[in-house]
Amino acid sequence: MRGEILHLHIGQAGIQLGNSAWELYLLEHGLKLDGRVDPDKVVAEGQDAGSFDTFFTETGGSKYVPRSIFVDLDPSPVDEIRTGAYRQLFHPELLISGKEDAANNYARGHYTIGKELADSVIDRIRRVADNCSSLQGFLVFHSFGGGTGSGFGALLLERLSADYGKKSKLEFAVYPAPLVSTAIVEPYNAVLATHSTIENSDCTFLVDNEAVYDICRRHLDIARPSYEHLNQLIAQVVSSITSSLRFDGALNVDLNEFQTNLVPFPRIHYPLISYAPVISAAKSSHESHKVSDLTFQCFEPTNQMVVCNPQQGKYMAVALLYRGDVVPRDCTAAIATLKARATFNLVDWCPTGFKVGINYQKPAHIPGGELASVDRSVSMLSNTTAIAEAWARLDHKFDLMYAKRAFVHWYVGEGMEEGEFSEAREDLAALEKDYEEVGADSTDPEEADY
Amino acid sequence: MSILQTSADINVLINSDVSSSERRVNPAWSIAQLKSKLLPITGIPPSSQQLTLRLPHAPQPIPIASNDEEATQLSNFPLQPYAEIHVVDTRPASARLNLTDTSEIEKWEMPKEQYEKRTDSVRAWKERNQLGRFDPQKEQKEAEAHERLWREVNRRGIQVGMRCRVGGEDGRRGTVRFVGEVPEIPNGGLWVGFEADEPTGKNDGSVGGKSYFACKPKHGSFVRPDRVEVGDFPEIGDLEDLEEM
Amino acid sequence: MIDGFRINQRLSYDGALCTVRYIGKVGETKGEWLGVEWDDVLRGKHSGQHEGKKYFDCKIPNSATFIRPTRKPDASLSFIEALRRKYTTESDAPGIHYEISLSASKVVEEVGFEKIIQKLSQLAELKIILLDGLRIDRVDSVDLIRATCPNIEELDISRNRFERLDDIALVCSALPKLRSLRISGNRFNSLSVSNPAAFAHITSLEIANLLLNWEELSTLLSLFPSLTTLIAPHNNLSSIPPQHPFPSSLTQLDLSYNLFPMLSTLSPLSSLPHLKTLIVSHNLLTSLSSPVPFPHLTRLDVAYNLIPTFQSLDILLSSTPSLSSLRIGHNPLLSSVTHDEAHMLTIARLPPSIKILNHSTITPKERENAEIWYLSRIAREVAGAGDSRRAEVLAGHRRWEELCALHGEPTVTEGKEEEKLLRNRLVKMVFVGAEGMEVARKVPRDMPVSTLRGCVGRWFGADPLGVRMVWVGEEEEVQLGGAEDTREVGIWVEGRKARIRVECA
Repeated sequence: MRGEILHLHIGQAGIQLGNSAWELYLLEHGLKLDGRVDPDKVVAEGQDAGSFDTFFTETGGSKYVPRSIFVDLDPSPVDEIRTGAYRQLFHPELLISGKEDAANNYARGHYTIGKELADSVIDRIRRVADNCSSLQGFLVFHSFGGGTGSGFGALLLERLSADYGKKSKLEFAVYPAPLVSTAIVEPYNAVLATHSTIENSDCTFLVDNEAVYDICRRHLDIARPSYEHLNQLIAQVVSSITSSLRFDGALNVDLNEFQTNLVPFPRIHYPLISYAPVISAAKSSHESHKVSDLTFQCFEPTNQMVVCNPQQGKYMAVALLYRGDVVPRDCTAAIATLKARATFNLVDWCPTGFKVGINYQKPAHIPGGELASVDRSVSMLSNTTAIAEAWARLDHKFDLMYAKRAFVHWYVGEGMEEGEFSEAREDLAALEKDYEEVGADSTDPEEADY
Repeated sequence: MSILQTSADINVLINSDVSSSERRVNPAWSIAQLKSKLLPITGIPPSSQQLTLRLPHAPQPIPIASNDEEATQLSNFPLQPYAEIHVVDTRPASARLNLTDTSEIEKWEMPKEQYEKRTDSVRAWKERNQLGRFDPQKEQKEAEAHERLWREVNRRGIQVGMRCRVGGEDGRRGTVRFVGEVPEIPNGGLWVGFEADEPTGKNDGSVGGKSYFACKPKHGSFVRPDRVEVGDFPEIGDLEDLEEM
Repeated sequence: MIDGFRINQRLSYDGALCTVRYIGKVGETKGEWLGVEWDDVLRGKHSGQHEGKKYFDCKIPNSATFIRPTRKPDASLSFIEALRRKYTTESDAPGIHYEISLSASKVVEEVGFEKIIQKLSQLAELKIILLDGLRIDRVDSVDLIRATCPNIEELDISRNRFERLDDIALVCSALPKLRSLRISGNRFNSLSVSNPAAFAHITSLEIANLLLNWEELSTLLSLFPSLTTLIAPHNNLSSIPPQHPFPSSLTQLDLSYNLFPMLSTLSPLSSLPHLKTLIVSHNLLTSLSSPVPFPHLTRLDVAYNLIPTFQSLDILLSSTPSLSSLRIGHNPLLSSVTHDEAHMLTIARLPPSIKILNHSTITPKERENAEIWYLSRIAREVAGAGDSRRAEVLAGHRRWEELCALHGEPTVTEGKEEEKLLRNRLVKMVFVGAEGMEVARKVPRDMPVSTLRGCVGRWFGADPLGVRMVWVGEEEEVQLGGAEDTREVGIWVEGRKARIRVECA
């Protein structure tokens, strides 16, 4: 028994992502929509009874209930789960909604509206935790741009930090895209949320919708991807990253290993995710995907979940997570070739390094879905200084708005002190400097050839 | 803002000059309610929002407007999933703030001194733990790193005059022409200079004005030894066996 | 020198598979040659001829070259050799592994590889084994296979050098638990099988790119009586004989990447009593009609075909009465209209029993909107054609009456619809320049701002990029669009008359 993990899905983006992720988890564990074991399903390789326990609670009668809490200040997204296809899956007490939405305002989510709901959410978390034999920690899904995701998400992380300081807290966060904002105040929300979660989260996987949108358009047969399509792809990645927590694996088998392997210094905890193959069901699986091809694809910017250019930066840590029919020799050969082709700029003095793991269980496939069924896949988690580009973009947008004090009164009106803006912005400026300092040693990024 | 929910939300695209997102909209909302929700999304005051509904089949955008916006529900308009609600700011340009073109202002950077004062920073951590540039044994470690490159040369048996392959199985082939330090290249340490069979190199054997070996232009390159394999790598295409027609 | 080669022999060079089609002299050239047909057609240079003389035939045009017999082909493996080489060599020979260093002190750390090597080396425990592209050309004894890996449920031995189906039959007869088999990209010279029951337990089969004719396919498929899933793309199939060889147990059939010209050429499949899913994407379909319906088909994929018009969809209800999911992207019918219009038209033309289109669920609201809009479009078409041709036009819209009953018949505006519309769309605009210069023009509301900017630039003799246009209303002023705005003027301008102030940079 490795210890239980609690999923928290906060705000619209967190909830939608949660729906897609649990859909895949069910398939991988051979469960039906109501959480009962599907007798027709061939149970995945490498699965034993214990593998359910990390993510599900068994309630008897071979029914499994996701250990997850869905919460939104806005009532309707949670209502939709209560009446939707998964209504019999989730525990009704763990679907929590407020009465009033956060109106895209971090301060409403964090102070006025959020405060009222926080106690009851913490109370439910307490009840779930009390029923665990040894809780490992939390996976928190939310966006940095919306009001509930940023404000209430940050509030809950603060409370978790106070109550469960020693437990791991990992985030999957939808991060503002480089070109188009989802809301005018998104840069404020994201900067404020980053500032107040940076101390309370151990590891945060960022996903920007523009990058995922491009992947959907480029690799899949979707002319106009909706959030649902984006979420299905992100869920596939989430399931890959968490598969070692649920099935027989060796790398990242418990939550705190992600931090150990990827985070050299607590503040620098925003790894970049890449995934391969992204392939349309239309293009079919008749082509075989060699381990080497998949590995090289992970180093292409077109397979990244955040828009940035790792060739301009240095790596502090890399974790390559192979899944499915993958023999160790092929991984070694692929990495050797990768290294021979180009210089690999890895920061030498970081306590973290370059790790490779294999999980024998193959990726699940949603029948009739847009993604093709594949025999193997790779997710790469890399802590690269290149991701500082994303922070710099966000900070600049923040500056433009804050210089004019645009919309600041909405936040002050919800009881937030104006000083929190400049404090948050300074923290982010320091974060940029932190990344700079990582790369600041005398060895420059080297080119392959001179 | 709490209201009675009578029918299911519809996912629509909300676009304005400054934002774009998929949002849930409830047909039971009044126009005024929608507009107040669009304020923090678009930054446009409700009184200056001009809303149009764009449906794929409509020849013209459909204005979402009414004499009594408090009383008119959105269900009066043909909302449908993934329809687009476009929000236009009717204020004169002079009354609007530029909130998107960041070239207008300089981004704020934390001054060096201020960063150095912070205790919970990567810099402070490096300094405390004597990492990277704060490592007193940095030079020694660099020397070790260079030594490693020499070991690599020996392990791989790289010697001037040998045939070699650079960059793995389908890499470039050529002949080793130089092994040693090249101060003209940053970071120092050991480099292997080779003459490629094809014009796939970077130079003619010189770097920064100094010549290390001589070959035709674009045939010379310097690479780290761990990318070089020496062995029986004949020039591609000069074997009768590979003849094909 | 040419010993050891024979016609139809399967070989590979640096992993590229080919079949020997000719051995001997070629024209006046020196020495001996092998004429080979490459599996990868891109490696080919001709179809077996040299200087006008034909030496051999190939199955795929332009896939052949002549190579020297002295060139060393890749060594081949037996089934068990390949199995061991892929899954167990590391456990057999530990320590040959060396570290990959990435910087002065960092090496690639392979976490838990020992464990996975151990796991994979337990061949007797493995359920899934993928041995595609491993140059296998022979099999071992049934006893050895049974003793080595008796628990295999899923096996991929695609793109190897097998020449006889009997070799594969032998492997399968040794694997009692095998359910899913992939043998794509092999080239069989012989399909006779000594143990006809060898494949009886297989339920899922993939046979992409086997290039068999119908007679051969019949022989092959007759050996698989329990199939529920058959995946057979890239086989150059263009018709199905009336007495087709597909087993009646099939529920799912993938014939993508073939050459079928019409859905009707697939109609013999309608006799399959359990067929639910049919994939015919990437073919040459120009029609979806079928003389005999596919009674139980619920999912059909006809994306990437040549279906010409939306009218082609009308036939779908009679061809596939039980259909609930359709995929139809990338067909010419969609190119005549915008993406959104295509989506609406497709929905409206399809029977309501179809719930999923191109992987997305159709909501009732979406369907209602699409149908109402479709009705209005038909109405316009009727109006344009005039009373005399009304019946003719309506005949082209199978759902007309059904939809009228559902949503009410739309009012048909008679007369010159288009012209009326244009007149309605025009706004009288007065453009006022810096020194009192005025230009009056009628501008359609749907003209893009960028186009109008160009016109205004011309009228005022200014660089269009420097032109700023401001609508002067009674109470407020609004600038028309941003720098490269392609949106319609009508978004900013209200009413039938407008005053526009022009500012030139």
